[in-house]
This record gives sequence, structure tokens and C-alpha cells, in this order.
Amino acid sequence: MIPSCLHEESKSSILLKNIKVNGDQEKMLAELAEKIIPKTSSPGAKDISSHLFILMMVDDCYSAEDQQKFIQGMNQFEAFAKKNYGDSFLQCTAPQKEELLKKIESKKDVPEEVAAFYAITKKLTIQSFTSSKYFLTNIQVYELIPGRFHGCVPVKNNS
Amino acid sequence: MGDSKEKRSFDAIVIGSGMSGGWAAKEFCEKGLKTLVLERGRDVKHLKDYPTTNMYPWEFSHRGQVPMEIQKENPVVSRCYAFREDAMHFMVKDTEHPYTQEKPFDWIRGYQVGGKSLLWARQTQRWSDFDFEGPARDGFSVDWPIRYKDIAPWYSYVEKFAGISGNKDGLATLPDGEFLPPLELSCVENYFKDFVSKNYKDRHVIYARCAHLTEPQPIHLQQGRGQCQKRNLCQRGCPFGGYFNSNSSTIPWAEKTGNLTLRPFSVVHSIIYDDQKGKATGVRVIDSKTKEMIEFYAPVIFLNAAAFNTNLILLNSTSTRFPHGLGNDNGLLGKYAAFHNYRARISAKYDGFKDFKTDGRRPTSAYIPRFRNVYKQETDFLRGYAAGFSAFRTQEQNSTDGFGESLKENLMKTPGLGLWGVGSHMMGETIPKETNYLQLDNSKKDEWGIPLLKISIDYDDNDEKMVKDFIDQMSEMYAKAGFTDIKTTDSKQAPGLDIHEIGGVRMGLNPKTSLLNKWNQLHACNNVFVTDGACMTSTSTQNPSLTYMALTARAADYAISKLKRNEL
Repeated sequence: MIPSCLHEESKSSILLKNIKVNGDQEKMLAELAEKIIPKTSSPGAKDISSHLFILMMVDDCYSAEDQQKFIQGMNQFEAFAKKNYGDSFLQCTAPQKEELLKKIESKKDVPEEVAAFYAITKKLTIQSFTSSKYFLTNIQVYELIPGRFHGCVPVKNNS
Repeated sequence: MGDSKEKRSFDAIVIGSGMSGGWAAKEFCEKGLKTLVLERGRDVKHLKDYPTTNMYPWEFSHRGQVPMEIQKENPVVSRCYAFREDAMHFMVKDTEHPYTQEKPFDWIRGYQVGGKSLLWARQTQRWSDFDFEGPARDGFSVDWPIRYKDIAPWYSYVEKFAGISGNKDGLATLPDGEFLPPLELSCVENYFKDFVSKNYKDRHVIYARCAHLTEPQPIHLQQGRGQCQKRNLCQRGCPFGGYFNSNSSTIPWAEKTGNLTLRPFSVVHSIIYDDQKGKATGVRVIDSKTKEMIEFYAPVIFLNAAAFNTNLILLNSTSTRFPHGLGNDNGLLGKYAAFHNYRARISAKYDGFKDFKTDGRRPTSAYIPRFRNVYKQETDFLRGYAAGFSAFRTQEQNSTDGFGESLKENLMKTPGLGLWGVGSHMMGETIPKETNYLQLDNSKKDEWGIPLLKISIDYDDNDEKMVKDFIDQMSEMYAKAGFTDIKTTDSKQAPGLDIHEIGGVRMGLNPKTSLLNKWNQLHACNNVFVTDGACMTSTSTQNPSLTYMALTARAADYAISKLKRNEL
């Protein structure tokens, strides 16, 4: 193993203007997003690069205050994982990750910053999934050109 | 300048290429006049310059949202509903052309060929004499110098060419026009329409007339336009030419004649007035790329720069004869500016028609013409409001509880249907006042060396009462119709966000109290015509573009006949 002090801290894979995120944090975020929306028979968060969408949206569309919350919360989230399992989130076992997220979802004894970071991450993961090409061409098909409007059609059961 | 004065001389100059300028260009070019159209922004060619028009939601990097930095730098335009990732390139950023707000005013602008006609809401309701006779009956502003009969044939003329979808409703308050077939109202819209007509005398819910080709006619196909495909993405520019804008219709039509010279990047500094000849001879333009000042000449000038920029140009057009702005002998130029009051909204639910929903998308809504103070004064405020109305089935939100496979499964479910959601917004007439005015801010200049426009416009007590009445009346109508969960809001938004700024160069019979005559000519300089929103004597409640188009075609026809007889 090369000591970490010998090489520069890794960088995020997209250019960020307002927030600073290193490569390890980016990996952690990708893993967390994948836990929120995992690959099944359909693509998961990693397949659609949800983590990059999250970083870009926080960087471009969030207020300085919310960006701060996100970054601080991300560090607190790692600390929370360490405190509970003695490891960073990435190094936790699958059941540990599962348990950690359940704990955060329960909102009991969860530091405020951790809850805020998780809420932003979850919201943006869901947005990236439900606005993805996969979702809008396979699940809820987006019609660019409907070509029709009917004002009153019967609701079909099981449509 | 290497070119000769002759090369810079035309038969007509049109300042502005938006909704009304496009019509002036078309009319002049069709009649054989060599016409120069000056546009301060860039060219936007139909089809070619609609960069977002065929983009899918996932292709927008921020999924439609405008980045925070842009919003912070441009708070005014960011308040506009259309300033989104798909159409923000058609809107002027605050930083691009600053102005002075003596009172808060959100000035929303589109500087490009086509102007705001690319972005408009495409609502096209005619005025009636209940509107034109308003100022005279109720004692505000000055009497309009025209009546419905003067403009009716011109409404027909522009409607046939633009393509207006509508239903012949037979209402005195909102005259019928030349209509292409209407689209359908939804079940609950039809229910409310029936309910209102049965329960209220002189109140009506109709299909809102709109500039969409529901069934293109030969004249539309000749323009290269086709049927509206109900995309509801109009603000991006339409690849089908399904709705009317200058870019797909009037400008290319003018171009086809070979008589059009379209000059983008041309910021008009002022109109040149010749003291000896006693008329305007041309226009001073700042080339926005080179910052060079160039003069262009023509015997007739149409001013269609969009209402407030038209005021700015006239105020900045000073001469020995007109030290306070062109045509401004009475000191009223820039005064009596107005807008539409769009502050109040109402929404509710309807627990019925549960076995029905709508299918597809519709680029218009239903419409409630003004019913207050129409036949006589009946409230403690003057005039009234029209309202939009629409009803669509709501969708339930899929659960976002938990995480992992269960969350994913929930997100992928077909969402359940909620109740029908209904909603209306007010479109209130405002009373033009001398205290609502535009001036030059001579202390500050823009990057083209032109003074900034100072805007001083505010609501008044009449507007406040009208907001309250809209909320009261609509709440009552909704409640009686069985709508539930009624919610009302007063956005308190600044004037301007309605994007219906009007006036400052009003029409009238008397040169002492108005600036334009019944043909939209400056009383004091009759070869300059103003036919955009600046000419309006009162605001009424209807979306104004259709009236600007009709006034423009009418004035152009008059100008051409005068030119032919050498009477300008």
C-alpha cells in the first residue's frame, strides 16, 4: 500500500465551482445513492451516474447555506458510520450499510447534519432516477409529441 | 462608413421585430415597400435557432432549473415563470440591459428577432365596445379614438393569417372572430361552464381563444406552418410552426417578397427629426457589435420596440422642435403607463368525474370574460377582471418512504389518480394614471450610451379592491359549484410580471391630452406611427397581443395609402 501522504488527495470527476468534494467522497456518494436506488433487473443509481447529478445540482442550484449543510453533513455522515461500525461507509459491510440507512430513516438519535445530508442526497437520487432516460422511456413514458388532447376519457382500470 | 446614404434609405423603417413589428414588416413588404426592420438583439431563424425545441427532459442538465448564480445575478427575470432552462436564452437578463426602478417593477423582455412573440401565452381574445368605451363611461384616461367597428375587420384580417383556435360563443363582451376549431374542454371545465351559465346571469366560462393551428388552412401551409401537435413546449419555439410567432409567420412572409432588410444587433438610439421638413427622416442606430452609430432613412417609421422601449426611444429622440421627446408637446409622453393586475389566484379540488381523466396535452385553457361592471357600475371599484380557468385530474405522488428495492418499486408504480384539480388566475384591468410614468434616468447610461429607463409604477386602491373582489367572487362560484379545498393567494407580485406593460404614448382624439391619433400617428409628427403596447389608452382585461397586431395592420394600411398620395 502506498501511504496516502505520498499522493495528492484525489479529485472529484466533474468540475465543481462552489463545493469541494474529493474522489473518496464521490465514491461514497455513489455507493450511498446505489443503496437508495439499487440496480435490480433495471438500472440503479450508479448506472445512471446519480452521484454526479447530485454533485452538479448541489454545486449549481443550491444556496451557499444548503451547500454548506450538504458538505458538513457528508463529513458527519462518514463520522456517523465510523462511530457506529468503526469503518467508513464504503468499508462497511452490506448489512451494516443497510442498518445505518434504516437508522437514519428512523430519525431517532441521528445528528441533524447527517439527516440533512441524507435528505438532500435521497431527494436528488430520486429526481435523477425519475427524470432519467431509462425511466421516461420505459416506466412513465414521456411523450415529446402527444399530437392529441382529449378532455374527458374513461379511466381504464389497471392502466 | 463605406456605404452611401442611398444604401441606407428605405421606403419604410420598422423598429422591432416582435409581435407588432413583424406585422408592420409583413404589410409593408407585401405592398412592395422596401422595408428595413431593426432588431436590437440577434437573429432567431424559425427551426434553425430553437436549440432546445426537441430536447427531452433528461437532456437538460439541471432538469429545467436555472442555476443559483444566474438567479442571483438576475432577480427580476428569475421571477418570470418562463425563465427556465429550456427558454432562458430568449429572455433578457437583468444585467444585459439595466433600468431604474423608482418603484418595484419587473420588466420582462425578449431581445431577439421575434421578441416576446416566441414566448407569449398565445391567448387571443378580442376587445369589444365594453372595453373601448370604458374610459369615456367611467371617466379615466381619455376616450379611445376608435371603436370596435373600426378594428373589427382588422381583427379578422390578422386572425385569418395568424390562425386562431376558438369557439363561436356569441358573447357581446368578447366578440367572436375567424376561428379554427377549438380544442376540447375537460369534463370538469364543461361542468363548471354549465354550472356558471345556469346560476349566474351574464357570467360565462368559454374555451380560451388561442393562436394555435388546430386545423391549418392553405394560408398557414403557405407560411410553412403545420398543425399544432399539443406539445405545450411553445416557449422553446415550435418545430411545427403550430403557434403564431413572428419568426415562423410574418418575418419569413415579409422576407419572401424580397423587400425586407432585417438588421439584427441594431439598438435604436433615437428617431431623427428634421426641423425644416417638419417630420421624421430616419433613425439613429447603435450597432451593438461595433458600437458605431449609423443613420437609416425612410419617409415612414413604425415604432414597435415593445411598449416601454418605444417610450424610451421617443423620450430620447430630442430636437430643437421637441426638446422633451418626439411628439411630446403636452408633456404626457411616458405618463399613464399601466399593466394588468395578475396578483390573485385560486385553486381547489373537485370530487366528481372520478371515472374520467384527460389524455394528451392542451396549449390553452378555459376563460372567464369580465363580468364585473360590464353593463353598469356595480362595485366600489372601477372596471373588472377576466380569469383563466382550467381543470385537470391530479396524480398521486408515489411513496418515497424508505430506501433500496422497496423504494424503487414504489417509484416505478403507475401513480394513482387523485381528485380533479381546478384553478384560476385574475387578469385585472388597471386604471392608467399620470403618477404611473416612465422617464429617462439621465444620471445613468447603458452600454450603448443611451440613458436608462426609469420606471415608476404602482398598484392603487382600485387594484387592491379588485384583488379582493376576484378572491370573493371566485371563491363563491367555486364553493357553489361544489369545489372543495379552496385556496386563494395574493402573490403581491410587482407590476410587470404580467408582461402586459402598456401605455405612455396613448391614442386619443385631442392632441392636448394624447400623443397618437386614431391611426396611431404621432399628432405632432405624422410620419411616425406607434402600434405596439405603448399606444394603448386603457388596458382592459384581454391579453393584448391580438389587438396590437390588428392596430398595426390597420395603421400600416393607412400609412401605405397616405404614402401613395404623398400625404405623409
